Amino acid sequence: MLGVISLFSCIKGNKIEVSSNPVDVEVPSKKPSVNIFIENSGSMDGYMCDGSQLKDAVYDYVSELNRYTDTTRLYYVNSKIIMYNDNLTSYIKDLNPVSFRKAGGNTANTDLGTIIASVLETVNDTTISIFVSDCILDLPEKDAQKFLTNCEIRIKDEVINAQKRVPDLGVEILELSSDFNGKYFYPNGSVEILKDVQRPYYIWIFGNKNYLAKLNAAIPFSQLAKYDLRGIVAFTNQSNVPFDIYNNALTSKTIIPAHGDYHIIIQADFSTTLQPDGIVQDKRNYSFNNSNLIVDGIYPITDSKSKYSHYIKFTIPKGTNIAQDCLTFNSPKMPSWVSESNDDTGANIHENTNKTTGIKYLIQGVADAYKNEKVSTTFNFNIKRK
Amino acid sequence: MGQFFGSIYCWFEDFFGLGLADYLWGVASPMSPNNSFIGIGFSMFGISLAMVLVFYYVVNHPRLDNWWGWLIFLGINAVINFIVGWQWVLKDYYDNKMVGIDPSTNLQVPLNIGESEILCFGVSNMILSILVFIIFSFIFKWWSSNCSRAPF
Repeated sequence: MLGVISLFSCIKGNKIEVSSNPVDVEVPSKKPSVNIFIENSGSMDGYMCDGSQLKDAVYDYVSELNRYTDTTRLYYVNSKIIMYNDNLTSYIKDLNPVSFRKAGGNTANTDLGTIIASVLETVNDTTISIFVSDCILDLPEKDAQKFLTNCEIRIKDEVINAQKRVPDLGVEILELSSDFNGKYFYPNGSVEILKDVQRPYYIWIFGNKNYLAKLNAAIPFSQLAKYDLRGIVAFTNQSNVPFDIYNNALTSKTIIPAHGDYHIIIQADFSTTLQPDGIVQDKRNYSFNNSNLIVDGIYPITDSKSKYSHYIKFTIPKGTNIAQDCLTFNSPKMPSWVSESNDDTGANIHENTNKTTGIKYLIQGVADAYKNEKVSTTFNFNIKRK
Repeated sequence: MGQFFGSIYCWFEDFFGLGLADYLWGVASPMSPNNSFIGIGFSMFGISLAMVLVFYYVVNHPRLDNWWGWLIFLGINAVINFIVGWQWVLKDYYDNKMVGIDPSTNLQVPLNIGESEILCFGVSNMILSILVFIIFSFIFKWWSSNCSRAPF
């Protein structure tokens, strides 16, 4: 009798057991040092009006950073780096055209390639540098396209040089928007006064990705949403992401099939990938070695005590036989906001107040430096029949 | 044995629900990490075996040596197993053991199991007990002095 019943019972799908190998993760124990650079060229004057969001955003973000950093150094930057020797409150208070002139350096022209190179030189394994700028390129009247391409290559070159010094270099670029009352400089040298408009500006964050991850976890970029955060793009090399794999209820590594399908959850800490939530939660960025496996969704973990940031639900469909597989989180494509924020000519500011001349080329330069990094992270797991 | 009992109960998993099936497998709730099919399955086998033995060897009355006499005991066995299976699982329900973990918040959340699913599980236990009663009857009837021709 038992034999007959067993025979029938064997027709039913079998349980499987999932497992994964431990992942070595480098967790920095020390607090990082942070350098803050605000570009003080003439084109930035318009952002320095009273109560501008740029000032508030920088003040708020840097004061939050102070909790988690060893030292914070403040600078202005144009043709040279100018150290600011007072505290953060005075630094923010002194964000005005008069102080900018007083600080010195060449505030008439901006060579963003040189500025970014200078900022990158200050980065090391324990030092993070933050650069705030409108990132408007001084386009020449002729051969603008050649100039933009040259800028892209220059940025790529500088980032590659920095990668040699800091192998785990991460770059995060945030686009925000602020009140703007001031001069706009056309490529032909003419000037126009813009009043009460919103203009984009950018916060570039360079540093060891492990420290950046730590800071991002402590001060999520979502805190900058109130300052009109419009886009985030991040670049780094492939990361070892700590993860664990469980059944759908997180209670066991044994998976019982439901109508023949196995539903599985991976919990992972994506912080060292530096990718923002929207990218991490986009199913299109994931692929399995075995194309039959399906990613059902990626969701954030809101429990602050959890050592993981997200969980991935996936399904091994009925009839799929695997012993081992790999889920790959691919490096994302350039987000659409980069192209949408770009203006190639800088000639018609009234129709393009929300755009930045040449920003696409600057960011593409960084992307080019990371073009060999096709994979953000991988999750290898084993399946054993029980 | 857990795999064996779980597999036969899960012939009815669409009837009593995948949520309850996972719970009874011991994979849905941290409050109940063991396979509950083993306990319920052994009880169902034990009760059915006892009822068969009582019918053929304890009561063993010549008046019951026919299909309806046997059917009375089959019915009693079915009702007992329905109540046992239903109450066994219902106890866990009222003890708040049927909770899962929300992967986002790590907080406990009730599993999607209601009293109707638990009632359906009782019915499933009843149907299986009828099957087991029939099988045991055909194994043990031959040595009964008065009821060896029941049910036929």
